[in-house]
Amino acid sequence: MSRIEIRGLRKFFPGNVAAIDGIDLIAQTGEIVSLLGPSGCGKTTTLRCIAGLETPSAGEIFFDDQLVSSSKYCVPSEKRNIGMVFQSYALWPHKTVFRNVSYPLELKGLKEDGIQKRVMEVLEHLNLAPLRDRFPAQLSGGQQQRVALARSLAPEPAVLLFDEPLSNLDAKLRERLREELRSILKEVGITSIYVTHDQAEAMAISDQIALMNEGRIVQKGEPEDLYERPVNKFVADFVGKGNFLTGKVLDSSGSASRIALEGLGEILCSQQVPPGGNLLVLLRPEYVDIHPGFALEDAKENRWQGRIVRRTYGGNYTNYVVEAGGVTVQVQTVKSGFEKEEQVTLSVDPAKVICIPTH
Amino acid sequence: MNKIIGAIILSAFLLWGSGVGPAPAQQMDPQLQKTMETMKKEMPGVPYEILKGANDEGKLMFYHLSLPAAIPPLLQEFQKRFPFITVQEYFSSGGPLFQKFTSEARAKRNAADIWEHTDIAAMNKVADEGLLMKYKITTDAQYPEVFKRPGFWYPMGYTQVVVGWNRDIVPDKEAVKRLKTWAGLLDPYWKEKKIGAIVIQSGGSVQTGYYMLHEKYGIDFWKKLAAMKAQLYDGVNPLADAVGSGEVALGLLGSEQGFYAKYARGAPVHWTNPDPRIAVPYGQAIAKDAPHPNAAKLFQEFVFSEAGQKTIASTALPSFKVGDLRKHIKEPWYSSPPLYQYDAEKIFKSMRGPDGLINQWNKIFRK
Amino acid sequence: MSIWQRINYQNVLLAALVVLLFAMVLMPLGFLLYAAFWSAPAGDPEGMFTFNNFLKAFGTSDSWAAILNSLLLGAVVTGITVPAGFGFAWLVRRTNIPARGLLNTLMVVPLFISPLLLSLAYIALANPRTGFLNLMLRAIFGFMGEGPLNIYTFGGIVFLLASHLVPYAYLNIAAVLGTIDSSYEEAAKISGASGFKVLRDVIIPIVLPAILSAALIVFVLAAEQFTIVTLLGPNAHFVTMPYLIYISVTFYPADPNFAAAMGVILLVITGVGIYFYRRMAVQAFKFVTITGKGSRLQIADIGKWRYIALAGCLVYILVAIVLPYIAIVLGSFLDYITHNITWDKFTLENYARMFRGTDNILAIGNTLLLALLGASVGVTFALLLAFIVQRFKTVKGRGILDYLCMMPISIPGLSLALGLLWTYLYLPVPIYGTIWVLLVAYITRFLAQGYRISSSSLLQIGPELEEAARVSGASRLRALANVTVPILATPLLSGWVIIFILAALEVSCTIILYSSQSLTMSVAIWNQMAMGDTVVAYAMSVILGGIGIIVILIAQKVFGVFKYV
Repeated sequence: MSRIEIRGLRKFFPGNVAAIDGIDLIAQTGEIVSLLGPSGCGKTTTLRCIAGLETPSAGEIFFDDQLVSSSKYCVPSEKRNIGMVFQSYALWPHKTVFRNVSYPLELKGLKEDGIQKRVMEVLEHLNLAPLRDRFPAQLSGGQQQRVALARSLAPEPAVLLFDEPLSNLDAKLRERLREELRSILKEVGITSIYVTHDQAEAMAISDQIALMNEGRIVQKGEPEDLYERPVNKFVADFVGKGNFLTGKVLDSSGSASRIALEGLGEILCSQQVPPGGNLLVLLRPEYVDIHPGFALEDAKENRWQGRIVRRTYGGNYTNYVVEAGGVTVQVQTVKSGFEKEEQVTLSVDPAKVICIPTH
Repeated sequence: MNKIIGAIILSAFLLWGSGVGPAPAQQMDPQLQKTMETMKKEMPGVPYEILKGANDEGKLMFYHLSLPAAIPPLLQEFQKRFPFITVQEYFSSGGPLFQKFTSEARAKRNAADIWEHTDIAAMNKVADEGLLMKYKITTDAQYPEVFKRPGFWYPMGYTQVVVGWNRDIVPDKEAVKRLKTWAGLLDPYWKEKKIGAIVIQSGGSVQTGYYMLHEKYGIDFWKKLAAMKAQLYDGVNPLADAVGSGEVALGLLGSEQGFYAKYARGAPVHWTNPDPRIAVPYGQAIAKDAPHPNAAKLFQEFVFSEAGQKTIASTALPSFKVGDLRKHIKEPWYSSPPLYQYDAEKIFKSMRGPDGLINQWNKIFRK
Repeated sequence: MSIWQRINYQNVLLAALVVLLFAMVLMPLGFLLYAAFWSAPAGDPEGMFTFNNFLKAFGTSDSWAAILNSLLLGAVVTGITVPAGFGFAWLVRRTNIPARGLLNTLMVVPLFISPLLLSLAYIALANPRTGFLNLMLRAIFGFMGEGPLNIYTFGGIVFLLASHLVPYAYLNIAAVLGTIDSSYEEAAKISGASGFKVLRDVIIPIVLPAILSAALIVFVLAAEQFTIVTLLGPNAHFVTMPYLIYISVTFYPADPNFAAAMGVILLVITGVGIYFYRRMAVQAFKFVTITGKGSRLQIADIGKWRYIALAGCLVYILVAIVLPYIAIVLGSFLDYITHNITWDKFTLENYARMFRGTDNILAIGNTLLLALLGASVGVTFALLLAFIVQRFKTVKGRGILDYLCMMPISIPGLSLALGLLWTYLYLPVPIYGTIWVLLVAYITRFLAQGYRISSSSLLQIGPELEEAARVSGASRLRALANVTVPILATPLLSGWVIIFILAALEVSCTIILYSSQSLTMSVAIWNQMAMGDTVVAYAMSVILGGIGIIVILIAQKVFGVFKYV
């Protein structure tokens, strides 16, 4: 198993702007790191550089302190001891499931019975044993995906790479498979780099997320870090829904800051923010609580009155759009009883108010 | 007596009325008058009706075998005299031309007025089938029996089946010395020189040549000839090309036309007729359902008249009527021994069939 | 609704096309079969039913040898051409060989140099005694006598045929090599396969059906080729079926019935080939997908082998294009064929003769007209037929249609010509003897080419796009015209160019069906060669070849046809 280190990676394509413009990233041994971002952000290119399918224009990539990629030196893919699951699975249509999985082992020069043993081991682990003699065209999407995974795991690689492997499957299958995938990966303990544009997927599967935009990493950290403490609006908006309101810091002390918020008046936030500056306040819809009428019982902080303008029932939760103080606030709650035009009170726990500096 | 005179006058009157009898002042087209005068001189005996008819028809479709030296001047002379007739040509090599003409004729879609061919037996068969128009030209008597089918086809000229050589590789003296008779083909002198020959299926003239060798010298001659490992060609033109370029030194049994064409362009090609001289007629006939019968008849009359024959004989083909008027016959390397007498029908029959000469030739020469 | 409103005119049109197809393909075939079992040509009153023609075909050792030789020639040529075509296709499309764009253009050109030209050129270059190349080699290596090269051998015939047919294999395979999803190869690399193993274990198996289908077409074309074997065969003591057919038709005494019988036998052989080809073609597209996401093709880096590979390609181009062209161009300025070329021998007489009189001008005009119309009508007709086969799933018997459209390719040119001659002589359609019978002949002869391209293109696209148009209100034909045709513009255009060139060079059908008004350049060249000045034929070939090159260049530069790289 390998630790992956990427330093200052850059990749230019002819006639384009830089596809990757300076990436630094470390994936510890056994860690699952996601490269998350919108189309064109450079995540797939980064993955392909790690795979050796692209040569960097600048920067280096190390596997356990061994240089594998630089602009001058690029170890060919077939020598990197990696596994890769492609978006289209790339199962060879002319080989059976068994032969697809055994191919990398044949190339390694393993003996016949060694191959047999290992392939069946992997197939059984992934519940594919009864399908061993089928051809890819005879498998369902989910089955194909697992065969692709089996093929990549069979030669016990040091690193596993994933290029949006679940994007061709339907929603429910996707959810189920990503949980399975994480548990398998953690069981095997293999360092994995996982490219996706789906933030829910990234958050479910990763130990670490590197959110990319326009060829750079905007923020990297644990899923919770990105969600609760985004460094800017882009990050905040990408990993979840949010109400973004502009505000000005009135004063800040010890454990809290008071901010003048557009439309809603004042808000208390548990972060310490340098006073006097403008900032963006993020209220996650699921952290905005909604109460009937003009309840002023506690007369505490962070209470505003508003009127429901839209109600969307969603089964396990209901979304409300509330007009309060001239701004609209989105609320996501289990309380489904409120009606349109109803007068309500909104509240937010100061600890859940996210302040994002605007610079 | 009065009764007799009266009867004569009445008869004359009746005859005249019915059109028979001495041609009275028939209304002649003034433009054609001059032409008629020329015709009286050059093509005596050809009636005015044909000229008039041709004038009305205005066109002639000529299917021929292509003699680039002879046909253009011939047509030029024809057009000079008869400018009101537009001549359209279709030319091809013997086989395809034969196929096209006979297929069209049989399907009653005759497009040709005049058709040319060099195989006597084939032309006779076509005549027998009724695909040719019966028309006896006024100069019929001036052409030999063997080389015509009276009333059907006549020889507008003849080609000879000759032996040609590249004069840069083989000096004229050496060639002439050895080619006085056909037996000279086996002269060991030719062994080191490369020789070329035409495959027997290529046409009637080549077949006549091989037949003659077979008749005169027997099958052994063929075998010895084959032993010289001649290079084989499809037709006389590829052979003549090869002689001209030096690819082969000697080319045998080719139609003179082929060698002549190269010679005219300056290639170092000479040829001669060993003894006996093989003449193959270019037969010309009118199609039975010719779209322009009068123009066709007129053309025939012209081609076989003295003027027509002189044009042909001085440009490309010797004529049975006026002889050989070409320039090269005076050259020292060319000779003209007596003609070979042959029966075309017999040759035709001998070629075909499982034991025919064609199969035998293939067995001997193609191994 | 009145009955006139009920009738779906489009369906009527399509039905009429099908009827037309049957007539165009089956009638000549019918006459051919009739002639094969008859003892005399059609119309000859002495004819009667007989098996003699076939007895002669199977009974004489000559014809047996011809049959076996045809098969042998087909097999050997295919065995050389297809690997070579694959090699070139892989090099140009998938490696970093230099000058890929240029090579791609040049690789296609030999297809459009007529085999007749090629033979003439190489007779001048490589005949054992006075061939140019031989003279040079003898001078360089200082030995006497003949050779070392001899075009009049089995090897020579194979060489010429292979040179001519390599582009066919190249085009077919290059098209497929470019559409394989690159992730198959990447997955193999990741699994540990080196470049060569990727080729062997992944690329070739996936491309195999396309390779095999190319092989079958090449086999059929090699077996039915007649100009090369006619010119070189007799001296090489190598006789094939097309040669026998040719001499049975044109030489004397002619035996068109025997030719028809041989034509039927050849038809059966090639028919079997086409049958297997069709099965392969279906397989060929199972494994290949259009990379919709625009992922770049894997270009293999072959390091210093690049230049060696380039040299190899250039040798082929030299041999297949440059040398013959130089020979023909040179010859066109001479009075007669000779190797003693001195300055005073050069002349413009051949070109002067060409333009003397209106005949050759007419021929050029006819050739261009027929090629233009033949290609345009031919491709449209083929597309509509492919459309019927691919999209009208409910119509029974589409398979027959598919077979009929491919059939003409298996009918040797000369056999088809005979069948067409008899058909249009007897059919009360007044096109015999005009230029229109040639047009019909060309469309029939080249239908398979246009059909194959249309069919595979339609297969790759799938019907969804047209269905979307129909939902928006377009009729089926309208959807085809507005949606599919623009998308398929490039492959359809390539089919157009191929048919244009083939029509411009067509000899075997034309020579039997032309009249003085419908003379074409190819026939004029053949006539010149058979009956008169070979060198004038050279001059005409130069012009004809020039037209071909211009057309290909325009197609590539302006319309992006054949642009695979």
